[in-house]
Amino acid sequence: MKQCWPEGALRAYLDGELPPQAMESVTAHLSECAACERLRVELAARAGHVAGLIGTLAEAVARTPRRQAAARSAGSWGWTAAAVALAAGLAIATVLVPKPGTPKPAPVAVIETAPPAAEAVPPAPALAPERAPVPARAAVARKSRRLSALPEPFLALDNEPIESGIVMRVTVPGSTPADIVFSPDGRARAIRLVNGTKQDR
Amino acid sequence: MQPDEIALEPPAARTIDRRRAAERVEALFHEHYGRMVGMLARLTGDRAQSEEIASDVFHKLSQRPALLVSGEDVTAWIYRVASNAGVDALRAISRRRRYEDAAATGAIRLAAESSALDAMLAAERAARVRSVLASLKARDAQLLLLRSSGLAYRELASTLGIEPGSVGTLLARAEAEFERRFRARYGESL
Repeated sequence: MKQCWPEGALRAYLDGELPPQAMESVTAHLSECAACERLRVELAARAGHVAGLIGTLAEAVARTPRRQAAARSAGSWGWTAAAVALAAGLAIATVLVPKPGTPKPAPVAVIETAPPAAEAVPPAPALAPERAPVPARAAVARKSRRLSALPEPFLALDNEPIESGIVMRVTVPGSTPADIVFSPDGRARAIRLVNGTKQDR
Repeated sequence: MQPDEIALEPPAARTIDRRRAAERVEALFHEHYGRMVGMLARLTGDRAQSEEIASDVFHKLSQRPALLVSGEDVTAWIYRVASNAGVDALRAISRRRRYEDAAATGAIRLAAESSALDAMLAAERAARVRSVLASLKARDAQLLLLRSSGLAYRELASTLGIEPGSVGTLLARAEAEFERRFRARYGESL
C-alpha cells in the first residue's frame, strides 16, 4: 500500500515528533516511495540550513554583548574611579605634606579581610543593608553623640557582596574625611563619612 | 457600579493568596529567566535589552496574579509574551537599521582580537539572519526562534496557540519562507 505523507508530517518525522506508530509507518513508507524520500531529503536539508543560520545568532551573541555590557559598566565606573583616584591623590598629598604643627598625618588604615561580607570591614555593621542602603544625605545629617561611640555605617555602592577589601581613609583638608572600601580589583565598593572624627580628636 | 463592571473581575482574583502568587512568580523567574534572556539575545543581538524585555515579562506576570490560578499554561504565556516582545524589538531595530551599525561597531571593537576576521564574519551573518527574521510574519519568526531554543512541538503549540498537529506544517512553511527570503537577499552564501 502506498500512502504518501503530507509535508508537515514529514517535517515532524524529522524531529521525531510523530507518535511512535506513525514514525514506524513513515519509515516503512519512505523505504518504498522515492517521491516522499526526495521530499524528506529536501526538508532535512532546508531545516539544517535554517537551523545553521539561526545558530549563528548564538555565536554572535556569545562574542559581543558581554563586551558591550562590560563597556557600559566600565563607563559607569569610570566616573567613580576618577573621583576616587582624585580623592586618593589629595589624601596622599595630605599625608606626604604634613602641615607644621599637625601632630600626626591623616591615618590610612589598610585592613586585609576575608569572607564573609559582614567580616570584610570589621567596624562596618551596615554592610548588611546593601539592598536598602542608607541615603548619603541622611548619613551626613545624622550627627549625634552616638556617632562618637559607634562608627557611621558604610554605604554600599553596588549590590554585590564584598568578600575582601581594603579600607582607605581619604581626607581632604577643610571637608569631612571618608572611609572607602576598595575590592581587590580596585573598585570602590562602599563609603562612609567619618563625621565623628572631629569630635573624637 | 454597573453589574457588567462587577463581572469584569473574576471571583478567583479576589480570593488569591498573593504571597503564594509571588512565590510562584519567583520560581518561574528562576527557572526560565536565563533561558529567556538567551533566546531574546539571539534574536535582538543585545543582551541588555533582552534582560529588560525578560524582566518586563515577569513584571507583567506579577501584575496578573489571576493568571497564576487560572489553570492556563503560565510557561507558555511567558514565552509567548517574551517572543512577541522580542520580535517587536527586532522589527524596531530593523527599522532603524541599528543591527547593521551594531555589527559594524562590534567588528571594530573586536578588530584587535586574534579572531577578528571570524568575529566580523559572525557579526555579518547574524545581522543578515536578523534582517530576514524581522521581515517574516511574526508567528513564523517566533516559531523559528522558539524551535531553535529547543521547545518541543507540544510546547510550541501551547506557546503560540496553534494545534499540535499543525506545528510540522507551519514549521516547514516558515523554514521555506526564511530560506527563500535569505537566498533572495544574499544569494547562496552564508
